[in-house]
Amino acid sequence: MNSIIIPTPLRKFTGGTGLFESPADSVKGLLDDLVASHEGLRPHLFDNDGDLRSFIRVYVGDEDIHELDGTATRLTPGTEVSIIPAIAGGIS
Amino acid sequence: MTTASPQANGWSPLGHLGKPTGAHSAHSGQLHIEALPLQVSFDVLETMKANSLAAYPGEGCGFLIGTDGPEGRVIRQAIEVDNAAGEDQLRRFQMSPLDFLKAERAAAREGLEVLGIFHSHPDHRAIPSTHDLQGALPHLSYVILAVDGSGSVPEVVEVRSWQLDTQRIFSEETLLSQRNLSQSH
Repeated sequence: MNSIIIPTPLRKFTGGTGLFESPADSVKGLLDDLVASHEGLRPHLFDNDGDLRSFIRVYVGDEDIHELDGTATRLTPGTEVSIIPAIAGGIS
Repeated sequence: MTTASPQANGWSPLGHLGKPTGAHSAHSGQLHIEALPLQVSFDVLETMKANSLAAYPGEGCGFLIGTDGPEGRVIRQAIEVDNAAGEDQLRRFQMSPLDFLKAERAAAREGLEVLGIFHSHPDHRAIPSTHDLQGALPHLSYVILAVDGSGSVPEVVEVRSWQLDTQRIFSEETLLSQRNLSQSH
């Protein structure tokens, strides 16, 4: 079993729970299971093309998946994954 | 507004600094009334203003932590963070994932929650931009401070708060400030 930690603002879509568990063995599988169980999360994690939104960062342990194999990163059982927003914006 | 006479219990409406604002949607143009106000202490307001002025002509930013209850959100503390946008910070802000984690942990230690963020718009209105929308999360309050640098010294001229709804549309929420918040709750 692997687990994923949900940031506080997105827990409104998971009934308040901050932890989701799934037997998926990749980051993509884990995220797919998460949004399949909590459909309201989908538009906030993924854009219209189905890609992870640029300001949504996913960490496997202490490592950003951008430094690994992206969403294809394989997970060994017991791995903890975190969704962490890198909120951004600006005037133009 | 559902908040009956906020001035009567010590709350002051913000907006165009002194003028109450009507709540509306930033992108749809439709009138959209939010049920509950965002309440910030005088100290939090001053921290946000000082951060915005210090960052000028760049954009300042930080997290807002507090309590979320049936009376609305009460912001207890503003946590200033570095703008991670690098050379783009004259027109952009970026809050690092590590700073988000730190803010969540700091809030948890105090029995509070991360309820919002603040950032400044140098020489622009306190209205969410397209870039704000692209990098935004729902259920967070987005306080925007407009800084006008056209005078001899920069000045915060507008403070407004917005929330992204589940359809990813920003709607304005009433922002109230109270001088003695820490003593009244």
